[in-house]
Amino acid sequence: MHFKNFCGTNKTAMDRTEEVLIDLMGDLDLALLADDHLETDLGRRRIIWLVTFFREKNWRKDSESVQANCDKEEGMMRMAETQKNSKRRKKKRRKLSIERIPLSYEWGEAIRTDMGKRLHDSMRTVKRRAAAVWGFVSGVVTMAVIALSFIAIIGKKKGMI
Amino acid sequence: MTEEEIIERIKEQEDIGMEALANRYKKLLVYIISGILGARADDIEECVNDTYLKIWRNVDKFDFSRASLTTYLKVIARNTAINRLRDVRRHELCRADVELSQCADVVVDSSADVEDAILKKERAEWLNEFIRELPKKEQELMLRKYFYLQPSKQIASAMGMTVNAVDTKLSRLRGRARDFLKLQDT
Repeated sequence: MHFKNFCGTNKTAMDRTEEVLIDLMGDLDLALLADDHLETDLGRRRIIWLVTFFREKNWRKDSESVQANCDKEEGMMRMAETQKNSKRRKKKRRKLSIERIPLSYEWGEAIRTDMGKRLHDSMRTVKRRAAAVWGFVSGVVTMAVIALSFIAIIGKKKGMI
Repeated sequence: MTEEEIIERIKEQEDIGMEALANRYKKLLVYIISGILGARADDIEECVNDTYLKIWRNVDKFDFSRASLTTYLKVIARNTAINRLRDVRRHELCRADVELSQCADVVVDSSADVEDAILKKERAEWLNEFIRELPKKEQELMLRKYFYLQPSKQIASAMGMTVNAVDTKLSRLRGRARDFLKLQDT
C-alpha cells in the first residue's frame, strides 16, 4: 500500500490511518480547497505571535532547538567575555548577530528572531528600571515615615517638658 | 497585477508573469511548505522554485474555471513538499543502519501498480465525499491536519482551540473517516 512510502514498517493502526489520509488527500477535490484559511492565517500571524509573546514571554517558543542553540552560543560568548574582561565590568552585552541565528523561511521569522529578541530585551530593561524606581520610592517613603515618627516623638517629648 | 493577468502573462511565457506570481504568492507557498518540511530552509526554497516551475510548464493544462490559481498553487506546493519529505526520509532510511531488504521495500513500493492506483483514486473519491459532508469547522481541521500537515499546536492557535481539543476532535474524525472508508471498501 501507499502508506509504506513514508518509510518505516513498524506502525500502529493510527499511524497507518493518518498516512492513508495524507496520501489520499493528494487527490482532494479542488472545491474543498477554495477557502482562504491560510491567507487569513498569514494576516493573523503577527497578532497571534504578539499575543503568544506577551502571554508566554518567550520570543521563540516554536523553535526550541534553535532557542537552545542560541542560548548555548550566548552562554559561551558570555563566558568568553567574562574571562577576557574579568576585572572590568562591561556595560554593553555583545549582541547575537543575526547571521548567527539560523533563519527559517516562515513568514514573520524575522520578527520572531530580531525584533522579538529586541522586544524581549527592552521589556526586561523596562522591568529592571521599574523595579529600581519602585525600590527607591519605597525606600524614600520608609525613611520619611521613620523621620516623621521620630520628629513626632521628639515633639511630644518637648511638649511634655 | 490580478490573478487573470498573471495567468495570461505566464501563458505567453513572459518573465514578468513569474515575477508577479512570486511576489504575490511566495509567503503563502513558504507558509504551506514550511508547515510540511519544518525548518529545512534549502528544501523549502527548492520546493517553492519547483512549484513555480510546475506552474510555468503546465499552465495550459490547468482549468482555471474549475479552481483559482491560488488553489492550484496550494495543491502543487503541498504535493511537491510531501514528495520532497518522502525523498528526504527515504534517503535518511537508506543512509541509516538498516537492513537492505527494508530499504528496498520502501523504494520498490514507491511505484504502485495500476490496480493500486485505481483503488487509491476510488478511495480518494470516498474521502472527498466524507469531507464534503462534514461541517465547515471539521472540514478545516481535516484539511489543516492531513492536507497541509500542520502541527496540532499551530492548528489550535489558528482556530482558537486548545491543543487537547484539536487532538481529540482529530482522533474522532480519523476514526470516522476510517470507518467510512472501511464501509465503502466492503
